[in-house]
Amino acid sequence: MIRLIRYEFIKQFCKRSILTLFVVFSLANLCKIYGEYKSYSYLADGNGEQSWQTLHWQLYEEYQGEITPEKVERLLAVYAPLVEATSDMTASTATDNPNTMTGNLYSDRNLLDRYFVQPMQYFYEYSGRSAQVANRARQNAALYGEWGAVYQQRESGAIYNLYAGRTIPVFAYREMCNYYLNYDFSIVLTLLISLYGVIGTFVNERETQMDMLLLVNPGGGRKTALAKIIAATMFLLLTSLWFSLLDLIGFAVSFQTFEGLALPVFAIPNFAAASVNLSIFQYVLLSAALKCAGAWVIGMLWLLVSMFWKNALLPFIINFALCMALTVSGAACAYSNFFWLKVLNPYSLLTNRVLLGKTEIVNLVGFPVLTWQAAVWISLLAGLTLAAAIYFLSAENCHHCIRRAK
Amino acid sequence: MSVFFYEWKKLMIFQRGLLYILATLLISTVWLAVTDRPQNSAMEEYREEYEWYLERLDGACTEEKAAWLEQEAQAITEARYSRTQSQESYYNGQITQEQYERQIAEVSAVLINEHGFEAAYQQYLYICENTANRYFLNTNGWAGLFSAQTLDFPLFLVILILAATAFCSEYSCQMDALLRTAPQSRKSARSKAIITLCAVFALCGGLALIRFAFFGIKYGLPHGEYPVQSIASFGGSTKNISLLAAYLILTVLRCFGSVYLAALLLFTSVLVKKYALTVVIGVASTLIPYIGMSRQICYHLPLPLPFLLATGFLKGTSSTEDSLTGESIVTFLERSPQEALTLLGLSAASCSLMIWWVLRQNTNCWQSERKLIKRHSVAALSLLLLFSLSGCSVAKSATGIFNSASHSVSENYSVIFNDQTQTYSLANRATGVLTDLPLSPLFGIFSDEEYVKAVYMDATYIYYMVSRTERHVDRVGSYNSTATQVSIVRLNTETFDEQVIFEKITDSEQSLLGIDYTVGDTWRFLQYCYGFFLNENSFFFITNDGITEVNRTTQRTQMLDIPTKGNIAFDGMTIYFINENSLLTAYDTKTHKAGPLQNIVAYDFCLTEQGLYFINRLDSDCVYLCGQDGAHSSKISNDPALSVGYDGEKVTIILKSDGKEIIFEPLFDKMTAISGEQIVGLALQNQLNDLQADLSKAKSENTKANKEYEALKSELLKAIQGKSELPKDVLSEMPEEVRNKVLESSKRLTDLTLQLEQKNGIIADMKAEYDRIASWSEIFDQSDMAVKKMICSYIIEKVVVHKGY
Repeated sequence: MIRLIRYEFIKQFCKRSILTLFVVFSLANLCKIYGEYKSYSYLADGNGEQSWQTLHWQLYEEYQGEITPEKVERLLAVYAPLVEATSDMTASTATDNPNTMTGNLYSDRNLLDRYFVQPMQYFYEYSGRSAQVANRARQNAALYGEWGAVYQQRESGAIYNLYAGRTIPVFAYREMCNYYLNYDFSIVLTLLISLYGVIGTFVNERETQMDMLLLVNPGGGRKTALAKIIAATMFLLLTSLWFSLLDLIGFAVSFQTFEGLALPVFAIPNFAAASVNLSIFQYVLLSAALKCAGAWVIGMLWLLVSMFWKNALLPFIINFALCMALTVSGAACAYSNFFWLKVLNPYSLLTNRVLLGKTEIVNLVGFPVLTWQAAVWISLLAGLTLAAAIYFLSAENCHHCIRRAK
Repeated sequence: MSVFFYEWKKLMIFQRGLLYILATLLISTVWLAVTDRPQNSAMEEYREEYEWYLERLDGACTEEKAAWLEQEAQAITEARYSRTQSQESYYNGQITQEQYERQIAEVSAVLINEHGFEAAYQQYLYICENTANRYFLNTNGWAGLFSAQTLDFPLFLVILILAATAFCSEYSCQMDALLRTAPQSRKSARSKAIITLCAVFALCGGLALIRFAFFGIKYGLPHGEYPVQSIASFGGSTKNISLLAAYLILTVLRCFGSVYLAALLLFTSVLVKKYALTVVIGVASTLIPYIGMSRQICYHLPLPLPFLLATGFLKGTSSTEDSLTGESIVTFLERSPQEALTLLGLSAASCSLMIWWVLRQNTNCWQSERKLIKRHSVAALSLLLLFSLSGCSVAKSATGIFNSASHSVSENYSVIFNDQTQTYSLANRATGVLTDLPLSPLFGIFSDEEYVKAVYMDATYIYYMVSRTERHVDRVGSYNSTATQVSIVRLNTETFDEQVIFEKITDSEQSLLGIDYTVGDTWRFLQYCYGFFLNENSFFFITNDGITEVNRTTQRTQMLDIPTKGNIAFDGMTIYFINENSLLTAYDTKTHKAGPLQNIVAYDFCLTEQGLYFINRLDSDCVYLCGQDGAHSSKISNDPALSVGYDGEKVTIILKSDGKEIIFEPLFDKMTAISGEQIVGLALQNQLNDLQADLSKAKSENTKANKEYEALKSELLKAIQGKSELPKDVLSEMPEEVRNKVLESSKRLTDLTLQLEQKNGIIADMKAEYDRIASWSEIFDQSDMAVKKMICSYIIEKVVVHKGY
C-alpha cells in the first residue's frame, strides 16, 4: 500500500508544472511579504544614523525584557518632554535639529510613541483589562447559577478560565508578528496550487481511459482510490505547511528579526480577546495545523467533485467557483456575530485568525465550545465523510467482483 | 459547409458555448435585478420631491442657482420654525382656527418638497467642491452603472471555459495531430480563435448593454453629455469626458480586456496543451495581481486585469492620511490618457502576437514556409514575460408596548441607562440585581468603539442594538482598515440565550480580501439610529430623518414618512406618532396607511396597555386617556402637563406649572378615578333595571287586580240588595276569577321583591370586594413583582386573545 501511495504521489504531484507553480507562487509570496514590510513598516527607511531602523534597535536594547517601573519612568522621562513640546503643533519642523535623535522633534515623538510607549502601555494595561473580564465572567457565572441558566454558567466559567491570570510581563518588538498574524495572501496561493494539484488526481486517468485498465489490476479499484486520497492528503498538508513556513521565514527575513515570537498572542492588539493562551510561536504551529485541516477538507471536496468528470475543465471551473463562494462568504462573515457561519465554513480554518483572534463560543449540545475547536471537529468530520464518499463511490476492482461472484 | 461553420457548431453547440453565454447573461440580469440598491436612497425615496428641485437646478451650478438654493434653505428653515410657532399659538388660543389654517397652508406650500430638498442640498455641497465640472442631475442611474468596479466573476469563469475548450478539447483526444495533417488546419485554428474571441466580445458587450438597459429603465440615465465628475466616484478625475463617453470607453476597455484574457488562454492552451494548467495560469495571471497588488500597480501591468476592471483609467488621484505622522499618502495616482494608450497599445500588440503564435502553431508542416524553431514555446513565453515586465513602473415580536421616549420593561427585567457611563444595565425586577448589558464579559473591554445603541423589549425578550467598529492593520484582510458593524441581538430573559437576528456593515465603501468596492448607502442610516422596534415581519429603525422599515426576509428598506422628533409608540402592529400638525396619528404596518386618531391634537403621548395617554392641546394641555383607536377619551388629570411617559409599569406626568412629577398606576388609577358605586352599579345596572321594570309592572297589575276585586265585591253587595243591574248568578261566578288574579299578581310581586333584595345583597358584596381591591393599590405600589403577580391573578381570571390581536 505504501508503495502504491508513493507511486500515486509521484505520478500526480511530482510533476514539472506543479513544481514550477510552487517556485513561481513562492516567489510571488515572498515579494508580497517584502511589499508589506516596505508599505507598512516605518522601520523600512534605510540604515542611516538617524533612520528609525537604526535608532529603534538602539533604543530597543534599552527597553526590551521585563517591564519594570524604572524602565517605564525612563521612557516617560524621554517621551513626556517631547509630547509637551509638540502638543500644540508649534514646534520647529526642521529636519536637522541636533538636539533630537532623528533630526526632527515630531519624528522623535512618533518613533517613541509607536514602537515603545503604545506597546508598553498596552502590555501594562492588559492584565487589568483581562482581570476585569475574568471578574465579570465570575460574577455572571454566580448570577447564572442563581437563575438556573446552566449553559450560560458554563460559558462564563470557560471565559473565566481563559482570562484569569493573563499578563504580558515582558516588553518585546511586536511589529513583525503583528503583520505576520494578519497576513493571508498566501492562502489564495495555497488554494490555487492545491486546486491544480488535486484536480488531476482522478481526471488524468479518466482522460486517458487508464481508469478502465486500472480496474483489471489487482492493485486497482478502491485500493488505488484510497492511495489517491492519501497521496492528495499528503500533498494538501505539505502545500499548506510549506506556505505557513514560507510566510514566517519571509516575514522574519523582511523585518530582519525573529523578536516577539515568545510574546503571548494577546500581546497583538487584534488578538486582545484571543481564544487561546499561547505564545506567538505556539500560535504559529497551531495556525499551521488548522490551515492544514482547512485545506484538507476543501481538497476532499474538490476531489469528490472532480471524480465524476472526464476532463479537467468543468471540475476546475466548478471547484474554483465553489472555492470562491466559500472564500467570499467566509471573508464576508469573518467578523460577524453569526458564529456558526464561521464554524461551518472550512475557509475559516485557513484564515484562522478570525476564529482564534476572538473569544467566541458556540453551544454544542449544551456545552460551550470555542469556535475554533468546533470548526476543527466539524471540518474533520466533514473531511472524513467526503473521503469515505470518494472511497465508496469509486469503481470496485473487477478481481474482487469475480471473487465475490465465485 | 465551411470550416468556420463546423467550428462554430462544435464550439457553440456541442461544447455548449452558447448555453454558457446565455446562462451568464440570464444569471447576471437576475442577479442585478435582485441585488441592486440605489446609490443614493434619498433621491429614490423622495423622487418626485427631488425632481421638483432638479427641474430648477438641472445642469451646471450657476451663481443664481446657488443663491436660489441658499434662499430655499433659509425659507425651509424659517417655514419649519413658523409651523411650530403657529401650532403653539393656535393651541394656546392666541390665534383662531382660520388664522392657523391660513398660516399652515402658507408654510405647507414651502415645505411641500422638503425631503427632496435635503437630497438636492447634499448634491449641491458636493458640486460646490468643483462647480466647473460637476453638474446637477439624478445620479442614481449613472452611479449604479459605474458602481461595477470589481472583477465580473461570472464573465471571468465563462471566458475560462470558452477559451480553454477551443484547443484543449482537441489536445485531450489527440485530434490536434490529425488536424495538423489536414490542408485546412490553419483555417480551422483561425476559425476557432475568431469564434472564441467574438463570443467573448459579444458576451462582454451584451453584459454592458444589459446593465445600461437595466439602469436606464430603473432609474433613468439622463444627460449623458454632462461631465463624468458629476458622479462621486469620478469626482477627482481631471479627464474632460462626458458620462456617456465614459461608459462607452469603459465598455470598450472591458471588451478588450475580455478578448485579451481569451487570447492569453488560447495561447496558454496551445503552449501547455492541458485543461487544468491552462485554466490555472489564466486564473493566477488575473487573481494574483488582483488580490495581491495595489490598484496603483495593477493599472500598470500589460495584463487583461486592468482592462477587465477599467474604471481606474478614468478615476482621479486619491490619497489617505498616515495615522501616525498625518502625512498624505497617495493610494491611487490618476493615469494620464497617454499612459493608458501606451498600455493599451502594448497589450494589443501582445494580444496580436499571441494570436499569431497560436495560428502559427496550428499550421501544418506543408503550409509552413520555415522549419519549426526549437524551443519556440520558451521564446514566446520569454517575449510575453518581457512585455509584462515592461509595463511595470515602480515610480507610480410583535406584542410588546414600545415608547421611544421612555424605556420599557420586560416581564422580569428592566433596562437602566446610565447617563454618565453611557452604558446599559439589566435590572431584575424581583430582586433588583443589576447586570451589565450585554451579558458578555468581553463586551467593550478591549475596544472603546463597541457599545449598545438602543434597547427594545417584548415579553420575555430583550433586543439590543450593538455598534462595533473594527480597525485592521492589514489591507489584505477581510474588511477595510475601518469597518462599522451594527447588529441586533435577542436575549431570552428566561433561558439567557443570545441570538444575533440582524447584522449589517454600515460603511458604503467596503473591502473584501483586499479588494475595495462600493455599495449603496442603504445601511448608512444605521450609524445614526438611536432607537428601534420590531415585529415578526420587519425591523423599524428610528433616526432623526424618520423611521426606516427593513423587511426581515428580503432585507428591503423603506423610509416611512413619520416625524421622529416626538415620542414613537408601537404595539406590534401599529405605530403611533404625532404628525407635523400635532395630530395623534396611527400607521398600520400591514396596510402601510396612516391616519389621525379621532382628530386628537396632542402635545405628547404614551402608549400603555390601557390605551393612549395624551396631553390634549385642545383642553389646556390636560392629560387624557383614550383607547388605541382614539375613541372613548376621558380626562385623567386637570393639571396642564408638559410630558407624559410610560415605563411599562406606571405612567409619569410632568406638570407644566412646577415641573413636578406625578406617578400613578394606570390599573388602580382608573378604579379610584370613578366612585365605587358607579363601577359596581354599572356592572349590574341592566339586570336591576329589568328587575325594577318587572316589579313596577307587577305592582300596577296587583293594584289593578285589587281595585277590580273591590269593585266586584261592592257590585255583588248591590246585587244582594237588589240595586245592581247585573243578574246575581253571573256576579257570583266573577269574584273567584278576579281573586285568583289578585293572588297571582301578589305572588309575582313577592318573588320580584325577593329577587331585588338578593341583587342588592350582591351589590353590597361587590362593593366590599371592590373596596378591598381598591385598597390594594397602595400595597401594589410598594410590592415586589411576586406580590404584584398575586394581586393581578386575583383580579384577572383569564385573558382571552382573539385572532388578529
